[in-house]
Amino acid sequence: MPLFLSGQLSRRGWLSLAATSATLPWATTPARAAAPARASPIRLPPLPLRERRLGNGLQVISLANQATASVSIQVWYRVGSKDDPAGRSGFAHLFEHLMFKRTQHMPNEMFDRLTEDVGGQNNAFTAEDMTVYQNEVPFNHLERLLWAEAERLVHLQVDQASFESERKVVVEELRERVLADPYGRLFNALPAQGFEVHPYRRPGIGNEADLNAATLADVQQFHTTYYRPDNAVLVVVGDFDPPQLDAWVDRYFAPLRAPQAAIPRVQAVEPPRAQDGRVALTAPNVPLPAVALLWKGPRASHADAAALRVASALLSNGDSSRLNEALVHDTQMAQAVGFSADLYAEAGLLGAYAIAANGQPLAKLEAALLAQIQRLAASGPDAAEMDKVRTQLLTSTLSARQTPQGLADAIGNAVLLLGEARMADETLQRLQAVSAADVQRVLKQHVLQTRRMTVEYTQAAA
Amino acid sequence: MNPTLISRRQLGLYALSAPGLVRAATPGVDAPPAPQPPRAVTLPAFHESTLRSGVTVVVVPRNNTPLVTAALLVRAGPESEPPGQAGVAAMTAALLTKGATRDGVKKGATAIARQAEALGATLDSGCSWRATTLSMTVTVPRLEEALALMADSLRRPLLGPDELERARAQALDAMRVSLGNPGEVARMAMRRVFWGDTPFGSVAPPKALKRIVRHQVLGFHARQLLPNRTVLVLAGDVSPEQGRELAQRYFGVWLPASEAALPAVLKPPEPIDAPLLLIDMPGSGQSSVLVSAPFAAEGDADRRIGQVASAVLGGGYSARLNQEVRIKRGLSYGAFSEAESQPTGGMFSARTQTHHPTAAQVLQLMRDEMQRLGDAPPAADELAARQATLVGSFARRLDTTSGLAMLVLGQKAQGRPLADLNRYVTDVLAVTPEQVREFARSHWQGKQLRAVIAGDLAVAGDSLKAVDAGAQRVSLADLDMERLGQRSKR
Repeated sequence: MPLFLSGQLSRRGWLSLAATSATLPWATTPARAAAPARASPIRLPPLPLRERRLGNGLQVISLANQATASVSIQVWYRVGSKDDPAGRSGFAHLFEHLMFKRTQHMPNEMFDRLTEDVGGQNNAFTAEDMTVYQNEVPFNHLERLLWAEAERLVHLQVDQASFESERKVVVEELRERVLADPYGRLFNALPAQGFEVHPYRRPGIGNEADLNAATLADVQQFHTTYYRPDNAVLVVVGDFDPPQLDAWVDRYFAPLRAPQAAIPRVQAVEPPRAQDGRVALTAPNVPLPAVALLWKGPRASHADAAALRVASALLSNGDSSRLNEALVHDTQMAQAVGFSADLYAEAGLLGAYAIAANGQPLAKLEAALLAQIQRLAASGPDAAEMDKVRTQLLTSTLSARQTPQGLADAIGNAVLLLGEARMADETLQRLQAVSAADVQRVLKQHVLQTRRMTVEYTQAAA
Repeated sequence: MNPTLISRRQLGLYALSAPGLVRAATPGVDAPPAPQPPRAVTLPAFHESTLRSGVTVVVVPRNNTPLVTAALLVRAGPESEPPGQAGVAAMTAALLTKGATRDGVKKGATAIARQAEALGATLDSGCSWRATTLSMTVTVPRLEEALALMADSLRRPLLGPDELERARAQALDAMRVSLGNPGEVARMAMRRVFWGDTPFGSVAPPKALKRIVRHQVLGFHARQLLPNRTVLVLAGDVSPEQGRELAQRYFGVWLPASEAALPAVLKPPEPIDAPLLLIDMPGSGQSSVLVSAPFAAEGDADRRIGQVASAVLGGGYSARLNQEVRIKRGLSYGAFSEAESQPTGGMFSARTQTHHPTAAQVLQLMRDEMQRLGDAPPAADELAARQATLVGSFARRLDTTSGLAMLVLGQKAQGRPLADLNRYVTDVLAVTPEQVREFARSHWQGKQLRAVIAGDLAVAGDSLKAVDAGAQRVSLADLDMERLGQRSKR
């Protein structure tokens, strides 16, 4: 059960999201099943990506794929919760909700007419570094979505009534995620405890006071500042004709103009943590106490990112992972455990957590989490464990990229976090190339030899 | 679905918004361009056969990705538990993955987890109404090992006492978390409120979990999880011949040691008298509002009509419930509905979460929408949009091996022919507005509705007066889930 959230907030609670850290696209050569005793390696040729950059700065990445009758159209904007203005925590996410409101040529909720009402779906999410608008439609509706995405990029016209109504929805979302969920307050607090300087420390959902202080003028300003073609990446995957796609992109997106003004970027640099810290949080309804250990980590494009992901998988992916086997099954001291490496564009957060089984003291869990990490760092994973993790990563990659949306997500993440679409091909190779020694080294260097923050979470006294 | 209807509707709106002037919009300029011509949804072939053991095998070949989803379904769930054994079905399902005898050697939970995960997958088990399931998705070279593991887990699980205690402790801890969440509390209570003390109203609160003993689990496994109730689905990069051969190898010879238990006596819903149950959860972050009503039974001719009616009400972001509760009034992050059909009846449920003082308003909104659908048929384009939503959701499941496997299991759990899947799109599109209205009128009238609100009733305060006539009120601490819904014996 992955409990660490990288602050990703989606417009629709019940539609599933692709995790930022997971999926990689891969084209495949089908392997015939001969039921061999040992697995023959599955060869994955590079994705046939096509890339363009328009004169106005818009990046366009596309992948034609006839295995489906759908097409995924996504727009990734390089603005996220790290860019929330001062005193306006939660603004990027609120703005994302407003992008579904009226434009010059579309009434409110038109995107639902263009997607859901024709058998497709749409959603959007706001993460630390990006805001992403996702549409999946039957292949014959591609042109309509291209028109609509260009239209809301340039002609959004939010009115006061829609602004206030959608703000209420966001406040209810905050209440549902943070207040109603027994562990909501814990997850919400982790970035604030993990980062000391960088705006990654502010929760993407914001807080009620800042949300209620936002104005329509703020909305106009935010749109002008960040929603421009040279701050966006258009990703199209599925059943389409490439020359036809190019013609439509030229018709609808090429005429858009990028403003002259520079785009404001976060300048803060997160320093290393100077000393260990500890904080105790409480909440009204905490059925089982929990503890989280936080370390500052590298950015997503760092050379050690792959090894940290493999270390995470060894520690917490599945019942036979180190933490699950030891703390949940063998000693029964935890209801749930995990280790995550949330690596963003500019910095990262590494964390280990445990929810206590009934009656178990948090100090015992904290010690056990550290002991398992130390053990893995000291003697390393064995060959069977490394094989397992490689197989898990390959299988989850193949699973995720069965759909146009899964492929588009992987492409978008590669561009925004790693700098280039073709990194989507390379990332799985890097993961497969990680050695046991690499795992030991990164756990020592990024976890055991750095300072940490410990967060205890318990039920408030009545 | 006629795309022209959508364009015409949007043109009408643009004409209204252009100041002082009525003019036609230009597609691709100030209106969306027209769509291209569509294609029909095409399904893969389903290859079905029965082994001599009685196990049904379905192979769904699809070879654009080297993956296969292997899924087992046994048609027995909580409705088949003997009286007083609520929770045994779910416990048995949970323990299937916690140890098995493999080639004559006992392998504990740790070893099984390692074996499963070495294949790159997790061995997932599930338990729902009339369905105990096991599934794995693996790359093609691992398929046989996965099937061998699944066969041993289903047919020769250890169901050991230590693992039972572990599973019990974990279930109790998970229940602690659930009972802190108003949405979960409302759902559990509604099970009893609507179905009453009948097999489909079974719930397993903590005291039921504590009563479970090992021989009950052994009994459920031996007398319910039997070959002639079992279906194996293989969906993905596997041919019908390969699939059948593998199935024969691991499930072809299977002689159960015990006789089947007598079938459970299934019953129609027995709702409580009170139209509303208020559950006090002091300090909870939001209130959960849940409204349930009758729905088509499995064999009813109007089941498909009911599914479309349910979609009109709450089958997506643009459906009526979310329009009224979230989009128009900002009262919630989302309001939606679902429906279940059982052999003896069905249940439609609309649910949402909101701030405590607005729970009564939201309850009234949802009830009103259910009534309204019975008073007037939906407009043709609204119905077409909701039908398209259903068709699109169905089509997307065809894109993945697990989606295909679940489609097959869904049919088999209800004893329906796979050929019906080929008719799904046509059947959905054939439903008319008047049929939807008539379904709502005959199933969702005021007296048939039952509601649950779980939240901080003190904070809700006087706002509840608008809805609490005849309501039952109880605090969560005092609520006995098992006694809820029991009718007093005369």
